Amino acid sequence: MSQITTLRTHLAAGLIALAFLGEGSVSGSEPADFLPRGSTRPLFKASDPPGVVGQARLMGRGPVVGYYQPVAINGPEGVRFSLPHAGNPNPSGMTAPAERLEAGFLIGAVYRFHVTHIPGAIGVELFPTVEVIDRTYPPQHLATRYPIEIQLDDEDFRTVLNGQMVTRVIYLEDPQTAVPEIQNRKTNVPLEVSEFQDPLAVADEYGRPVAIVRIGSLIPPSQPALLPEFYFGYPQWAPFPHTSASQSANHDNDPNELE
Amino acid sequence: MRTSSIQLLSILSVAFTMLLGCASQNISLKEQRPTPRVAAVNVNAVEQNSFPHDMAFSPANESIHLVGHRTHCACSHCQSASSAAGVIPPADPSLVQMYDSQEFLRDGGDSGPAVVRLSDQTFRGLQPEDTIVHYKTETGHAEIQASNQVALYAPRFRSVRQVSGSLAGGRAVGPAQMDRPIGTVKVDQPLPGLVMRDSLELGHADVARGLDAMRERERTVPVEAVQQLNVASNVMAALVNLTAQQAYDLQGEQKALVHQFANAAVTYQLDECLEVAIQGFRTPSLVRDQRVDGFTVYDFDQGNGRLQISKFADREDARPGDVVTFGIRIENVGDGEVNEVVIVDNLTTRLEYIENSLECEADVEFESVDNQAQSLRLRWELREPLGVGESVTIQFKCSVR
Repeated sequence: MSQITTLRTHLAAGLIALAFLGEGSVSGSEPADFLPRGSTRPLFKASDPPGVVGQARLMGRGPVVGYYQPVAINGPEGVRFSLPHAGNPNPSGMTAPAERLEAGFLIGAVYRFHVTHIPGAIGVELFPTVEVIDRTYPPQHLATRYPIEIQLDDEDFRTVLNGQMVTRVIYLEDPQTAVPEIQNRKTNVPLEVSEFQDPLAVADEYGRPVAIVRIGSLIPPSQPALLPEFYFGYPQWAPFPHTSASQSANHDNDPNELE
Repeated sequence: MRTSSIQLLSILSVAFTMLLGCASQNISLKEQRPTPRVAAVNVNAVEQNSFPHDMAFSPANESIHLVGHRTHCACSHCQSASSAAGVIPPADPSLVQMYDSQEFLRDGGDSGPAVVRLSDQTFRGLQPEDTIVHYKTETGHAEIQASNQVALYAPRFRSVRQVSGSLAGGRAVGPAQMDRPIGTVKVDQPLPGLVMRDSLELGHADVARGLDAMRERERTVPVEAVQQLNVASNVMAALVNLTAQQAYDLQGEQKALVHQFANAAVTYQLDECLEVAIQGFRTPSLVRDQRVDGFTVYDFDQGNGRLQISKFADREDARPGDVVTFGIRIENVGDGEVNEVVIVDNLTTRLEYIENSLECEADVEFESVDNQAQSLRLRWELREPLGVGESVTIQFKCSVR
């Protein structure tokens, strides 16, 4: 009996010691230890509502307010892009569909553009958004020659048509850590991150984020009064010089329109 | 004599005219110095694409905006109109100099640590982008000289993609659910409004307030203890015999002095005074006393060669896939020939050497090996010494990745 009592006493002392050890190990870790390391953006994420990150950039340094950053959007072969006219709440006021959408976008504003002629999904329309969150500083007369290139691929549209949402963060690649391969339509594949990672933080590690593209399956509302909200107020944009004539044509009057 | 006086007068008139002309020109230069123009372009954007108005496109409100520019226009029409109205503020030229080094592709130079050559004829400290030349002089000195740096504007964009679930059938485009690591519970962020436009209103203004009113007190301070004189004497006694008339009477020699001083004052007050030499009178000459502030001795070893290396490219910007021709030129600017001339160009990641694109006028031994930047390290070694004044130019092509 005494041996059983002694054994119970030792067991209880061991459990208490284990409890203390466990307590000590838990108290040694901080919640911040589980946060991602490196140069992250703790206050702004790619999942923020459209416009938040870009508006925050306007309060930063440099001549960014009022600057029209040239942006070029490309897609798979056959895909057409168009853009609503600036400040025009007319639902039919879209530019002529083009395989390469080129425009100067204000930093901080959110632009919703129109995607049609998606391969394998005839008749399907998408209305992604693009938000320019930073600008480039090209030498003289090279701004439109070197726009921010946004390359969308089939995987983007296939994912969206399956009911999911695609968020792309475009970043200016650091030449010191560049990928050692020639960039073309095939090799320009995006870096995939999981749902639990912040693509803005990942892009910040490899370069300087300049734009966020959000592709979902949202369609325009049926009520015309809600269209300004859908198009984020039709912010001003500027066409490229060599495409101004073609883009100024109305969507309905375009003779090259296939539909 | 008359002829000489006429010539003198003509010389005087010409000299005076030139003097006045110079003076007036200086004045006009100061007055008509062009104010820093602008503005609009330099201020508003780093780049200067100046598009005419008819290329701008905004059907809704006919406002004019330009790609690559801020809301102010840069054309001459707007500049003249706005400058007359005083709308556009003067430019800050420092804004024009802004650039981002990540948008440029650089090659050349010697970024630290400095390149050294070991006894086994290999180099250490060669970083990507480095371009150096190694040589030996006749006296046996081994030297390493770095080239200048060539910068190409070649921004490259990539993207990070995230696929997340979304609500179906609703109006929300955002993710349905996302588990995040432990972070901030709540952050008050200024969310954007429904309509986002440019606003020219002041968000915040610091106003320095001045005095509204000031009341000055000029009353005298009451004096309580007034001390009276103990002794009063007649201090005007010394001036009893002095009258006012006596004070203004001048003697004869004093009149001459006053006249001389008056002429000197008139001469002194002239703005420009031209002095000439007449018949043997010497003109006043200015002797400037100069001294040496510093003395630098450049000690070059006689008979030693020195190489100057320069690097250049045939274009200033390049897209992915473009071909850039680089040139490396070395020249012996020393006093003696150099031996064992080795040129090394460590290409950066985004430059890919094109095979068989090398052109060199001299007899060189060329080799290329992989480097740490997943590109190539190009190496040329001259088989013959390089004499005084001789130069070698190497050209090769690279494609931009």
